[in-house]
Amino acid sequence: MGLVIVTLGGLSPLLSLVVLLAVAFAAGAVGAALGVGGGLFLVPALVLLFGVDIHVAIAASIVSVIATSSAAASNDVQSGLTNVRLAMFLETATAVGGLVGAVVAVTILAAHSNILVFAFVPVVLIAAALMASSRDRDVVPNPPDDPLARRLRLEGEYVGPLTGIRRSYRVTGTRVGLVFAGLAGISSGLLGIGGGIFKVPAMNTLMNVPLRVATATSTFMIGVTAAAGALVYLFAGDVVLGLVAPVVLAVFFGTIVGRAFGHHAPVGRLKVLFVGVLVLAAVLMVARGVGAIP
Amino acid sequence: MTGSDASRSVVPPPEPPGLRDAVGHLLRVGVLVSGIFLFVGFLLAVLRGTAGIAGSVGALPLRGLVGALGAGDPWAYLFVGVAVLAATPVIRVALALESFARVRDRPYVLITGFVLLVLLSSLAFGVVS
Repeated sequence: MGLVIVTLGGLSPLLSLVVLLAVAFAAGAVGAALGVGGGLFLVPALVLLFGVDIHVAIAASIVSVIATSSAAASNDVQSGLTNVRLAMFLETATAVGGLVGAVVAVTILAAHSNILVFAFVPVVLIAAALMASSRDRDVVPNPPDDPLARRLRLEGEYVGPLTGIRRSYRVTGTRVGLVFAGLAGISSGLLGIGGGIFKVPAMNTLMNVPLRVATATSTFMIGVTAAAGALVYLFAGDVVLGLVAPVVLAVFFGTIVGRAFGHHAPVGRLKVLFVGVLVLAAVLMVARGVGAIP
Repeated sequence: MTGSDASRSVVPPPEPPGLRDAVGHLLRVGVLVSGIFLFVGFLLAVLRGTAGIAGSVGALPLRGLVGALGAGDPWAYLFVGVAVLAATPVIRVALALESFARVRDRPYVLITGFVLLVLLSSLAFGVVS
């Protein structure tokens, strides 16, 4: 049983721990307020601030992603907002993607941390662009007919947040939806993120799912997606328990706070902060990848 | 139940009865149990001075886990916490499979069965490697 010590710059282990808890808490809180997981911040923070190997950072992140999903999904599942059938259908693609991504990370890329660091950069930049351009697209009453969606009864109902009116929606674009779900799954297994940043816009704009339903459904799916990857990392020995415990606990409390106060948060400014931090992380990851910074 | 008329006021209940509540409770219990184990393990690690941010790499052998828990080994508690967290979604899928099988909803038995198979493949891959 090896021992891994992670410290921040010249700080003592205890101070480093406090900073780690604060960073993970912030990742959870900002993520929850914006309706995304904390993984997008967490992995770059662990790599860039604490000098953690990216495999270990990804494994810690993916475990915390399960915690966030399980904690955040239960209420919406019971209230009926989550489209459980749609989630199960898309999970066929996200779970395969999660498994494939994680297997690639622990086998082919096991000795190639730099490739993973570089792989993170486009994902982070796409996420930043999606967040910057995201908006709530209203559902249309009669989308193009999708026989598979009809056969699997993927339609649903939700109560409009502003109007309070119960509305039904019909799902379309099941094929393109599966493709995006598969890509979200691969990025989850490979990079330790939840992938909601890709699934939510895909469900909203391509599958005619209302934004709130898409967010709840994505959150629900992420537990299964991340578990497919996490089980691989756990037994591959990349899950460093002494790092995972404080990260999961802090992300978890951050998520609770972010969800409780999220509707008071200045979402516009948080989005700018989100995009700014992600772009900065991408630049620093490139610098790390080419060896310009230690 | 063709779902072709979007304007109708009532959509038939789309899941087996009780599935949503069962899944909601399962997720809550999973997070709570894993959170308790992680918290206790973390406290034990800090109290024993084995943590700044220090940790053991890899999975503990399952043999001897109960003994390690009894002896207050922080890593045993942390391992159980992570294992419970990772197992919760797997149990959630198994629960859905059972519900859909009970109402003989064949397409969803196949869908959830496939997802469960993928998750068990992950586990198998991890254990073998």
